[in-house]
Amino acid sequence: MGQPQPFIAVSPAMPVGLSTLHDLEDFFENGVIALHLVSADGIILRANRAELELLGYSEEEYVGRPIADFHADQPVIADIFSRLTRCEKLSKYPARLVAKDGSIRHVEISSSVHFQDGKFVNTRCFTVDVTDLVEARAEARRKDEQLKQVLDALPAAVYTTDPQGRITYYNRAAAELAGREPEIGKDEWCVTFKIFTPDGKFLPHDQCPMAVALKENRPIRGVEAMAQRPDGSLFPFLPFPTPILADDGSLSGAVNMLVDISERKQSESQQKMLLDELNHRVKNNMQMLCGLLNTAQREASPEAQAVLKDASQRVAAMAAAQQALYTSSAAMRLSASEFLHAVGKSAQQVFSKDIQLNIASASGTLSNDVSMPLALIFNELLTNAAKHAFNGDGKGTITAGLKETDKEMVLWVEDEGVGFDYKPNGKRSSGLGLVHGLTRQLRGTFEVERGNGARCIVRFPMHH
Amino acid sequence: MLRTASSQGKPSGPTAAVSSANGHRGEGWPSTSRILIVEDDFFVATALENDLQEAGYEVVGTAVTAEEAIKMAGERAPTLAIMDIRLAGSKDGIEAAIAILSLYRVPSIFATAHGDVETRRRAEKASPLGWVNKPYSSEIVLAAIRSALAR
Repeated sequence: MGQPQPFIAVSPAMPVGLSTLHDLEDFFENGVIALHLVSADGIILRANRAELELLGYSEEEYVGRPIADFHADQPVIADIFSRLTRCEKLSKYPARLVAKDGSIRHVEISSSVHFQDGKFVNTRCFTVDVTDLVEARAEARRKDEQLKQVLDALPAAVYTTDPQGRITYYNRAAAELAGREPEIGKDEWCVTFKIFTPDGKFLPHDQCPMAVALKENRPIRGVEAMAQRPDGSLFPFLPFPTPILADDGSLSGAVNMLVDISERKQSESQQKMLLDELNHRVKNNMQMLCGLLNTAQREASPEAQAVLKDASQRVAAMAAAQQALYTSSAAMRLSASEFLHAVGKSAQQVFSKDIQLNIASASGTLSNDVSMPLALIFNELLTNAAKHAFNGDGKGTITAGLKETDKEMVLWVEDEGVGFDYKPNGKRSSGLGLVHGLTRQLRGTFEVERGNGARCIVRFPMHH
Repeated sequence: MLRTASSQGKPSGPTAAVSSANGHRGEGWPSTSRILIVEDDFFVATALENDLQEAGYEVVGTAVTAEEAIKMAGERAPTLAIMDIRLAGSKDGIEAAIAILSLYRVPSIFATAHGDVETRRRAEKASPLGWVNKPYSSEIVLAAIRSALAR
């Protein structure tokens, strides 16, 4: 191969000492960056130890051979030479070199030509091995592609955005659910056409749950919304927007899954319809029962009439509570106020017109289990007060309340009469016997206080 | 109707001398049998108490929770308990039945609307003397009691 090509041309004018030249040779030969020189006709003139180690060749196997022999992609080396010949400087030009063991090394080549008197002398090439980086990038791309395939195959609508809310990806299910093809990089916040709140109020996209998740950097759960497709059709959905964080904790975007809850809504609506129908029938049956008892009174003896009248009034109290329960906005719960007014109104129908019912206070709610026995208790207490508290002139006011305290519910009925002492008499069919027994059923207590009149108090635990 | 005289209690002694309207006395079961009713529905309990008393049994008490049932069983020494399974409170009738059997040797008849396989499997530990499905007639529950007492 003859004398090695000097990697630096030393001008006689340069004040370079022998030791400096020696240092530079050492720098070339032993530096950690791979270096080689290539002649104008593409032959490797010199290569340092780092370059030889990079590819695994000996100097004899590498120097003196065409550089193109070591490139995996011939168009690449042709392009490199073409550019260098045109005096271009190459910076981090990606190429693939073939190592001695047949493996491919990904490198970035930075190179320029040494011209002397306008003549191409040689190239000076710095070769940086980026194989690990390229393979890591390829692996990341493979994983991205796998994830994309998984998301595409999901039957759930999924899309992602960048930190600014621009759509970066959406799967087929998302496009199908939205009824449109979102524009990647252009559409913002949501893939849907228009969004509304569950009560039908228009919700601008920049206020949608995904926008809130990104702006406040927190996942949003339990929010229902309604979306409109371009064809005008609507569907209710549950979004699950979740911010995605980078390694350093900064926001890198967000992912959202839209769950179509149309079927659930339909089923709920059907269930409510059936429940309404059932409640309606129960109410009708109770009304029939009241009518039956009222009719029976006509044929009965005075004693039986009194019993039938009481029974009819009790059924009416239950019917009133039942009707209030099923017209209540909260399914299976009844507000104390609704309860008192409904049952009070039913009981009042048999009062003298001179007796007023004042609902003083009401707080809390009642469950179905509690409201039926409590309706009977309240009815008995009201009836009792109306019958016995106003014997003088038959005029007066009954005041009632139902309040939720920390641990219990308290029902009270107060009259302006002479008051009475209550002692359980064991007669279960009597009015107060009924109150006593039903209060036990509620695991509560019943007491009567004497004041200006009688104050009947029923306390019971809230949770049954 | 409500402000009746209130101090007279029900006689609570044995009802050996009480003759049933149905003529149950003398048909081979102890007429002094003392029954504990464990039932959290007031009307169901009242109807059952009336039926039992008319048939000549002594009702020693009506409990609405498992805790109350265990207490009454200890204090009033019933011969038998008619036990509802779903009760107000944290414990159910099966737990109460197991407790009163192990503590006081008081057996139970379960009267329930919840007689599914799992419930019956759980209830085996209480060695019930019978099962009555709700809603039941007085004839059915009295027959179950007679059968239980004859064992």
